[in-house]
Order: sequence, then structure tokens, then C-alpha cells
Amino acid sequence: MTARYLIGRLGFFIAIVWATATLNFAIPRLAPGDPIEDTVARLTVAGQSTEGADKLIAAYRAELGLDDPLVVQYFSYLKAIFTLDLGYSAALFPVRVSTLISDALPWSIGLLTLSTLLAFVIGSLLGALMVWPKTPRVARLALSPFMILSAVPYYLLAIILSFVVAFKLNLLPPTGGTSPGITPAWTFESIVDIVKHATLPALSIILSAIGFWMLGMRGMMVTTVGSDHMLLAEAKGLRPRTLFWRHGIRTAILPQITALTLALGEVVSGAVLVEVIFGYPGIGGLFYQAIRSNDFPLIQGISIVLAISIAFAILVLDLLYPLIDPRISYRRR
Amino acid sequence: MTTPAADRRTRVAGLLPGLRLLTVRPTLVLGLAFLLLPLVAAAILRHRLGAGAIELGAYPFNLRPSDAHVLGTDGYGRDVLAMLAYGLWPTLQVGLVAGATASAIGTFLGLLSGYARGWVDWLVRGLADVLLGIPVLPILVVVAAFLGSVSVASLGIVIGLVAWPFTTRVIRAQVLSLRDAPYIEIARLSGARRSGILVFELLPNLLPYVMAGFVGAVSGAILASVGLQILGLGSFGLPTLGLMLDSAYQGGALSRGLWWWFVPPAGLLVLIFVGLFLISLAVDEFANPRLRKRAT
Repeated sequence: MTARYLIGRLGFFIAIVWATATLNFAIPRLAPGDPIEDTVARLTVAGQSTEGADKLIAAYRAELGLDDPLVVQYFSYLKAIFTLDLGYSAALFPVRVSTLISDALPWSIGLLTLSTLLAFVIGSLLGALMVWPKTPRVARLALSPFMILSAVPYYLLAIILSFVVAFKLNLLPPTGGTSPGITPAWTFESIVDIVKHATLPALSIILSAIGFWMLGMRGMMVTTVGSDHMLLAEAKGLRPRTLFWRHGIRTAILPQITALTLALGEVVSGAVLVEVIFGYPGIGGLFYQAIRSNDFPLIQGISIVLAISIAFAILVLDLLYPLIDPRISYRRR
Repeated sequence: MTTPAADRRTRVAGLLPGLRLLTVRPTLVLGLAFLLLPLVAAAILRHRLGAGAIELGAYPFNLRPSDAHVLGTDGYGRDVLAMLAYGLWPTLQVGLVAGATASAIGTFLGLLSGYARGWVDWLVRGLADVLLGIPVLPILVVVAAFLGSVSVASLGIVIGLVAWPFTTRVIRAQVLSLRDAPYIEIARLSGARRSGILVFELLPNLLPYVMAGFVGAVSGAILASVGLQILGLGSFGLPTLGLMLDSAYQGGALSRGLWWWFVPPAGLLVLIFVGLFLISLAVDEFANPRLRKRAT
């Protein structure tokens, strides 16, 4: 991989984070009025405690320099983002936004990475199998419903699963990350509890996402299976399994990975809603709380963190891509 | 030399495959049925039940489904069936407005970027890629949180403004592959204006992709707007399916077993999404002939 490619990808990463930060900066200020006074006013109207209101306003004025010209504000905002200083939470003053986010982040990362990875791997495999001529028709028919399921957004599945499995059948806990009274620790009992609570949220994501990846992979495999290099490989007399894995999947998986980078934003957004429905203490749950309590600094902080995480994940995938696709490195010679 | 009349006929003929699509593909018909039948039913129900049925406290709270209220009443005393009937169209409207906006911008920029190449292409692509990287939901949340109550049209346009990059990518890719085709070459050599080439030669051949992009955009927009509404934002002052889910969740419908409050809107939403999905499958098959069922 060349330095040029690396710099290009890094450039994108920075551009995306900058664009999100700028949007987060601009939107509240487009609304008329002072953003902080506005926040406090909304909190008051909503009947929430504004005890620290004066201190809050004073702290923000000092930090944001709301009396400075817009340009100065903008640059000090960018600098704050750069140092990951996301300010104070308005509703839970004086807790800082970064504290809240760093508490919630591990839950979400665990849930999301696992669910997405599982769905991607299983979905791609199933999608490839659906196109492969050697798969029995029965299996293909059995797998089709998954693709229909992909149309259903995660949160709808979450509601249905939550109602059916948790409330009606009482098989798994309906909300929360852990049962009350159990603190997350590395004990067996604690881990089992966490897994039980994470199962339904994970399933909501996995069941819908599998169909999505199946469809994509199916499309890629159709093109690959009909291509000339597959014909040659078959003519060479290679075993079906070799054909499937080394020639079929390896070729088709590349655009799938590109699709993964494009879909990441959507996946994370969907996961946010799933967490809300299950009261899962991840970023999604925090986000919902922030919205309910009109905690604008927290809302903005989470947006930035989400943007950075997604952009970073895309960066990692983009950097992995040339390693998987030999054509790119050959061309460089 | 062809006469202007024959010329026009040839152009129109290019559009006919789109019409034939309707009769040939069962997935398309099924998908359209999933969308149109509820709309028709909703219109009839609105006429029969009247706007009074969705006012707060119109009926006793939380009634189970019965003969008087086929789907019961919700926690605010509104008839659930009436809520469905009144909420369906605004939910779809947002999708349509957003889809139209995203398709219009996306097709325009895709055509421009794919055909012009050079710095225009670089600029549009860069913009599209960056926009694709920005997570949509948080941005929409920030916008919705600060704007408060919005209208259907403005929410649709806002969503469309963040959704156009997908369409642009697809259109651009197609334009890139088409722009060196012989008939484009001939048009160029015969002195046709660039805008003329774009509109009359390229666009008709792009219609399948524009349609596919439109359906995708509508689906994504409804997804986003319902997601916003479940979070409690993006309200129009009208009932929508997403808001029904939100109020059901807030009212503890899940734990109180008031299934008729949230199962109907969830079910209707599933129907809509599956319908849109089937339509997009059909349009995708139309655009990408390799996906069509081979004679086995």
C-alpha cells in the first residue's frame, strides 16, 4: 500500500470528523438565541431541576467564550474536540460528558462489534451459498425468509422480540444491561447475566442484518460465478470446495467489505435504537436519555463520538482492503 | 435520416420497458399491493371514523379490541384503528418527499460528475464520500432536537439532503460506463449540446437506476423518520406510526401487555418496509439483468 493511499484515507477520516463537528457547531447556533440559555430555558419549561443553572451558564460562557466572535468560538470548539473535551452535561451537571460516554461505550462496542461481525460472516456465507449451484434447493428456500427479514429495521424486530420473548414467554430479561444488584465483574455469574441481557438486543441486530448481507453477497456471487476466471478454475478440475472458497468467496467478498464500510453508519444508528428499546446501558441508551432530558451538550458529544468511531472503523477497513485484494498491491509495482 | 416524429417515437420506446415491468414481475405487484392496499383502506377508514376518533380522551383509555373499537384504544383514549388510518399517509409522505429530494439531487450530481470528470467529479465525489461517512441518525437527532416541531415537507427535505450520496454513487457509476458508448459519441460529434446529451441520451438509459435509487431513498427515509419518532423527535403535530410506537413505549404498553397499542403500528410498518423491499427487488432485477431468475 502506498503512502498516497494512506494519506488519502487519513484525509477522509479527518474530513468526516471535521464535517460532523462543524455541523454540530453550526446547527445549534443557527437557531436564534444563546445555546446555553436556550438549554436552561428548555430544562426549566420541562420542569427539570436547574439548581446549578447559574453555575452552568457561567461555566459554559467561560469555556465556550460565547461572547467572543463566532470565528474564535469555532476554533476553540475545534480545539476542544481535538482534545476530546466535550464539556459538561447540562442535565446531570456537573458530570462531564466524556465521563458519561466512556462509561457507556464498552457496552455498545461489545454488543455492536459482536452482532455486526456475526451477521456479516454468517450472512455473507449464506448469501454465497444461495447462489452456488451445488446448494440443494431446499436449503435455498429455507434461507429466503432471512432476506425478507432484512427489510424490517432493527428497532421493529427489537419491539417484536422484546414483546414475544421477554414479556410473553419470560425467557430472557426485557431491559437493562444487568439485573439489579449485580455489578459487572469478571465472575461467571456476572458474565452469564450480561450475556442473557445482551442476547435479545444482539438478536434484533443479527436477524435483520443477516438478510442484508445475504442479499449483497448473493449479488456479488452471481457476478463472480458467471465470470471467466471461475470457468477456467472449474475447467482446471479443481474441487468444488476450492472453487467455492478460494475463487468464489475471495473475489466476491471484496465489494462486500466496501458495502460494510458504507453501511456502518446505518448499522450503528440502528443499534442505537435497539439499545433504547431494551434500555441497554450503551451509547444508545445514553443518547435517548440525553434527548429526553434535553441535554444538548450530551447529544452533541455523542454525535461527535459516534462520527469518530464510525470514521475510524471505516479507516481500519479501508487500510485492510489492499491487504486482502492482491490486485491493488500488484498494480503498484 | 429519420424524421423528428420517428426520432421521438424511438425515445419513447426506451421508456416502455419500464411499463412492461409492471406486468411481468410478481414481486413488483406484490410490493405495490402491500403499499397501496393499506392506503386505500386508510382513506376509507378515515371517511368512516372521522377525525374525532383520534382526539385525546375521545374514548375510555386502554380498551381491549372489541366490536366498537376493532383495535381497541390507546393510553390517551384514541381509537387505534383510526390512528393507523390517519397516521399512515404522513409516514409515507416523509419518505416520498425525501426520496424525491435525494433522487433529484443525486441524479443531477451523478450525471454531472460522471460525465464531466475532472475537478467537478473530484469535488462531487469528495462531498458524497464525506457525507456518507457522517452518521445520519445523530445529525438528524441534533437537527430535530433543535428545530422542535417540523412539517412533513421540511423533515423530508432535510432527510433528502443527507441521503443523496447513495444515488449519486450509483448514477455516476452507470454514467461512467455509458459515456463511451457509440451513440453518445455520435451525439457528441453531431454537435449536440452537452446538456442535451445528458437529458435525452443518458437519462432514459439511467431510468432503471433512478427508480432503484428512488425506492431505496424512500425506504431509508421512512426508516430514519420513524427512528426519530420513536426517540420522541420529529413530530408533525399529526399522528404518525412512529409516534404511536413512541407513546406506546412511554406508556409502558410492553410491560402492561397492551399489545393492541403497538403491534398494529409495528405490523403496518413491517408491511410497508416489506412492500418497499419487494419493489426494490423487482427494480433491481430490472436494472441488473444478471439477477433475473435464470431458466433452470
